[in-house]
Amino acid sequence: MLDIAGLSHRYADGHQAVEDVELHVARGELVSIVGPSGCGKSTLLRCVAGLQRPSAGDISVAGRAVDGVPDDLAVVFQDYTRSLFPWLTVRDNVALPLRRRGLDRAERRARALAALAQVGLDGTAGKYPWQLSGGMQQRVAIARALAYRPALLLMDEPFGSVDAQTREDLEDLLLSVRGGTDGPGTDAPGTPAPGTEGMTILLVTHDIDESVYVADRVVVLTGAPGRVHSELPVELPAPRDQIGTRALPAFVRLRTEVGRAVRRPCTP
Amino acid sequence: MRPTARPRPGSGPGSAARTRPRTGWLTGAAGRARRLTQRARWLTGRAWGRALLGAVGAVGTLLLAELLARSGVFDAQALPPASSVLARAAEMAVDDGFLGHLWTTVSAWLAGLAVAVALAVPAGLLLGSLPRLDTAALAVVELARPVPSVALIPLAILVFVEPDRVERSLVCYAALWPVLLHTLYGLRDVDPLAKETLRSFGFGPLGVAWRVSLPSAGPHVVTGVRIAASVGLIVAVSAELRAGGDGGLGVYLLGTQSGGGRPDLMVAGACWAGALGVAANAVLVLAGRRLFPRRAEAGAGP
Repeated sequence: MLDIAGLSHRYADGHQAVEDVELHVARGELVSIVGPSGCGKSTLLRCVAGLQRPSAGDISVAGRAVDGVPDDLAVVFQDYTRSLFPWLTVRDNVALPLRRRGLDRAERRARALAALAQVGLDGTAGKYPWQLSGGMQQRVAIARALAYRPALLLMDEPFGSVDAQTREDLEDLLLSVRGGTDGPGTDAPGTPAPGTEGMTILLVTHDIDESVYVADRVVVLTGAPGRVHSELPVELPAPRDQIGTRALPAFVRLRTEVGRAVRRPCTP
Repeated sequence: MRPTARPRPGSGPGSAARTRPRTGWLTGAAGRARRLTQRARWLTGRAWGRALLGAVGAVGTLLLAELLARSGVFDAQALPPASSVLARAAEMAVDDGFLGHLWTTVSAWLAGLAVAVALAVPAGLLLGSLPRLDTAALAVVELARPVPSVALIPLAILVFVEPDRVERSLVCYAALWPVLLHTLYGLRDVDPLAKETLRSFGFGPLGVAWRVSLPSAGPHVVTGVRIAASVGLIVAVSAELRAGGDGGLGVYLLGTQSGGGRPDLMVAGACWAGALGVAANAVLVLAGRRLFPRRAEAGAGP
């Protein structure tokens, strides 16, 4: 689904953000990218999203080389207050990108409402984003990405600006839309939401526990410039939950391993 | 933030002091003063309370003007009493002749304003979305803006001749700059992340400009139009005063000068010009709130 080879990016000011990154993500996989701050995680994501042209290297999404923003892609940014449009209602925020899907007005609205229900936000459609709490606003941003039904979903520290409890709820929401657990807002736990079957997710985070908890595979980047340090498959039982999964010896072992890799000295 | 929380009787740290017996006039006075400020806050904290205070101020000012005029301190010719000005203004509201003048001014003002907005907003959008060109454009605007539009009345008369065209083109010129300036400022203020969000969903530059940049700059544009409306009204009346013509508030005011002059009509006419400005501002404020609802308190985080 996503193939990155020899990706390097040096900013105009000479800062080398990422260097020679190699990464392959299969369709339907959820890969989390974890690393110390300033290790080029966000740069990597922006290059994949086509928002930034890398200095060197090749990226292809679904077999097509990235040149500009790829089709069938959605991004959830950390800063929901800036990413949601304050002049649009919650429903219109979610419905707006669907214009690219060639849907008529009624279809766009119906799909927006369905996506909002999916993330547990029924009854907020007529409100404005700034009338909601931070956690709810990030749910709107997630609903917007889900309603778009992208083949590739990029998440840039999506839960970085919410409190710990909300963070756990949103992690479970992510698992639930992929059909992994019984999360809020899903009528049928264990089945993926419509249109999200086979959705590939790339999630950037600096939270080690989170990177293990939600992912099928963890990719550790080392800092300045960012390089792939290691890749760890996460083999945890399918219905994951915040208490049980985090207590499993396999989880503890993985988070220790990831933690060691992340904390490795930046300069070789 | 507005102080909305009032100390309730029987709660908070003040309740202990309240139950204690008063020991002197000093503490009594302090208590009275506190109650007075609480009462004032109780009035200013409510919409009707603020409206009431505003009305008290307006009526008080009118009474003062009336008293000054009647007291003989000022020449009755120079300062007509407020009551007679208001009476004339009320008569003018049903006078077809005056309403015709008023409509001439309003139509020229609105036409000039509309053309200015139709030119300045797309121009701002174009200049603002091209990198570096907006800086150059801002420099030009900053240079052209301080030239008072009324200083161009003689030139406009020379070029456009007809009073009607003189007025419209001057209003348009004067209104152009504030709208263009605020559109450019508004576009500079657009959050890059908001634009990237829509880009990442596959929208092109035009889609981003139309769906993100313009609505995001909208409140700034409305502010620009509000300023342009008040400047435009000044210019419209000034142009009528200087260039004359068949009608308009300025022409009406010139007419009241003849035969010794009618100060009551002059002031009443000026009041109607002021009413136009107030009405235009109110309409634009409401339109802005309607079109671009925003958080009441900036920075109200999670």
